[in-house]
Amino acid sequence: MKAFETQTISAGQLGILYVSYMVGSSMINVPNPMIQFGGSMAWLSIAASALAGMLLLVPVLYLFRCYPDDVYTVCLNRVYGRWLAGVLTVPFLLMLLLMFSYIALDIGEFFTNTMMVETPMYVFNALTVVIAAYAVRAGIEVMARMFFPLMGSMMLAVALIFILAIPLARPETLLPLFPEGVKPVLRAFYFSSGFPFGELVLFSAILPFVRKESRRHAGKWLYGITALSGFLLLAVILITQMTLGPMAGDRRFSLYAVARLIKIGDFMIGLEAIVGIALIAGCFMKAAIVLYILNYTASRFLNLDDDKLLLPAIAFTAFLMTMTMFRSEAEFQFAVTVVWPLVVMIVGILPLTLAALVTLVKRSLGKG
Amino acid sequence: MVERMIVLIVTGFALFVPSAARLKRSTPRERWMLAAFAAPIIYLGLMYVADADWVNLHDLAHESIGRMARLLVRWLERPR
Repeated sequence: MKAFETQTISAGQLGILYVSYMVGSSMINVPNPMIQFGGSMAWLSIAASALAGMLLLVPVLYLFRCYPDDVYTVCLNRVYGRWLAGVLTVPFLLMLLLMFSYIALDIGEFFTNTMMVETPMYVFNALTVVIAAYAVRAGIEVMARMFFPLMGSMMLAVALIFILAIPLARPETLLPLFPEGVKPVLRAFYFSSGFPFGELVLFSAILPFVRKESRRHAGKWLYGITALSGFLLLAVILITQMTLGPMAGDRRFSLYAVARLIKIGDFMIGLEAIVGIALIAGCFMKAAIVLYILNYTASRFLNLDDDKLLLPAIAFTAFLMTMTMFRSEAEFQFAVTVVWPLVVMIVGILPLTLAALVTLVKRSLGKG
Repeated sequence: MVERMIVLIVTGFALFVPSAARLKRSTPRERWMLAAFAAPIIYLGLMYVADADWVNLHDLAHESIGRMARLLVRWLERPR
């Protein structure tokens, strides 16, 4: 098995990882809160968030152009100096740990709420964490290759729901426009600009793995896939809202709820089981990518020779967090929809954007 | 409680055993780094086994950034 630092990926594989990261868990988790907050105007909020995400790629790619071989922590060291970079990296690592735990917990909640209600949640949480740790241990190249068929099956499932739900759609549920003014749109924008579009800054840790000859294409892939993610989420929100109507905001995992409505004749029912598995594969892919970023960044920050030494300890801590963090589902929902977007903005986006600005100023003054 | 302890042992076994060889090859500094993870693992493990409601990492986020987030969201959710 190769060490992490000797592994490289092509720009296309970067694209596969990035699309898994961006739409993996958001496809199933975003429509419900977006419709709950934004009502009939949720589509506008997601479109605005996608545009904001594309703007956010500007500092990410600028830093990548300036420090193409440096991992995120080294990049922060160069810009802020060792001590300040350390102060910024610790919350960054804690945020990644929290994020990985949230995704693993979300997979458990999905199964115990929908398909396997009598199975204890620790079964799903433990399996997710252990399999994600094994995937990370195999390395980024293996993950990129493995995620291609998984992503394909997820996209196929979403396309299937979309096509089969069209006859059930009622476009009039998208009206009226701005029924409660602009604040609900801003509330939904606040949520979606943190999850998933704000989270794209964390992906900057993966960029140094792209092969040197493919690096000039990385920007195009990232911009293209951010736009694609925005489009996919927009389509899913629209079909969910048009199919479920006013109930869409109250049904958790609303895309799965749409799949439950679908039946072809009287013989093909229960499609949601296949669709549910495909959708949750997306969450798993995102969990594995986040664990990879967390483990690699922690190893580089602590300057370890063996990049995989901490992996089991990090994964086990995350598993314990999934089992102890929340007493109720409402608490978890509050953490994800209210607190998490601001955590991403303050701990993820702010230091990276400032680092890009400082580098730009240094370079323009000839000090960089 | 017994069920929870079994869950911990099985999950820990599945995670740590494949990396046992790495531990043997590691430097003393790396072993210290790894040992530092014992503190959160023991704390969270006790919390899980005892089903206790102690402070967790997300509480840290809630009590710091969460306060600002609540204010912002309250303003956005206030009716016109």
